[in-house]
Amino acid sequence: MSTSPARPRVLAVNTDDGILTLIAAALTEAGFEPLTCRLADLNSEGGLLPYATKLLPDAIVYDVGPPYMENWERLQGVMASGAVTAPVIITSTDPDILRDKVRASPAAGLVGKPFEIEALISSLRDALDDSRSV
Amino acid sequence: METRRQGSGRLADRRAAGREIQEAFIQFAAHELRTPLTVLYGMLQLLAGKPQLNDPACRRLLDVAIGEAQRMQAIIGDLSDVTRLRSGQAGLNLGVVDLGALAGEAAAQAQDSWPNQAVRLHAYTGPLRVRADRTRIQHALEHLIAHVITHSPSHGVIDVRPGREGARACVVLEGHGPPVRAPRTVAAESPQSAPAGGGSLPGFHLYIAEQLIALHGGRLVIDGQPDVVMAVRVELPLVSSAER
Repeated sequence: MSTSPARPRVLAVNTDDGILTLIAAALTEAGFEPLTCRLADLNSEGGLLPYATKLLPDAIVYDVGPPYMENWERLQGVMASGAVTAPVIITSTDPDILRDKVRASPAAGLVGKPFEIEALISSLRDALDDSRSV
Repeated sequence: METRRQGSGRLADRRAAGREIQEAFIQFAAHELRTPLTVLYGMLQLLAGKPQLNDPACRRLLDVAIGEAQRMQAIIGDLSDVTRLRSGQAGLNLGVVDLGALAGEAAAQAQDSWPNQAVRLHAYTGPLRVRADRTRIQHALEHLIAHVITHSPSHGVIDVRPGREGARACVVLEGHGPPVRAPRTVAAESPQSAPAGGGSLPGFHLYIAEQLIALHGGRLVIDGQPDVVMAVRVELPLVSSAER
């Protein structure tokens, strides 16, 4: 009897249901197991930390929308605490505002919207490879 | 009684406030449009990967749809970039660049993009050093070539002529096509007095190019020569020897 290898679990967080549907479809096709969450739902349950602790995703795709700095600082605080160990890929409609901050943070990557599906999946694979090799 | 100076001051204030509202609106609109565009573009990419849609007719329709989504993405990106530059939220990455070389690169790229057109570069032998954001001036040139090509017949000839006029470097882009409006200087000498809207000229390509050039202290001139040629001239201040 053979068992298929477990598919990496990816938690996608976004305010927009359409984007979550898209990311879930793209992740499924690429061989990942998608876990999607609306940002409002995540915030109503205490933010990313309790969610990530409960679901234990292998990677996170987190959207930083306006107000960019406020939302970035909230996420940055969680990443800097070290409590979330899964690599985090940031998506944003305004990547230029965030580029330097992401570079100086533990985040694994930044993908601007609208994105190429291939670019997002490739960033995720790289981030997962990096996290396994640590 | 309000003096003429007070009246013109209030008018200037109202214009500035109107421009701020317009720029904020464009920023919001760009953000809001990117989200559904991401979904649309992403779904089209996923569809393109489906083997069930390998029929050439389906593939052709999908390719057109993906191309149009990419075009929409570029339009939103350009509008957002120009608005952020104008409002000071982003800055130009200035350096000394050769306008003739940039014109050559833009011409080569245009030839690749429009193989049915003959894009001819008339190289200028001397230096044409200007202080500019290389990427954005090249982008402005690409927009202008696209505009000239759009208004020229298929299989036409587009001439790209870098040169200098006094203390200014210039690039003239000429294409055979229908006449445009009478010659007119459309961009102001400084970003502060550049037109806020795109109403001064028809066409998105010209609007973006006009704004980018004005932000560099340059100007864009449309030379309409009836029945024969459309010509667009970009002018940027040459770098003085002391600045090099």
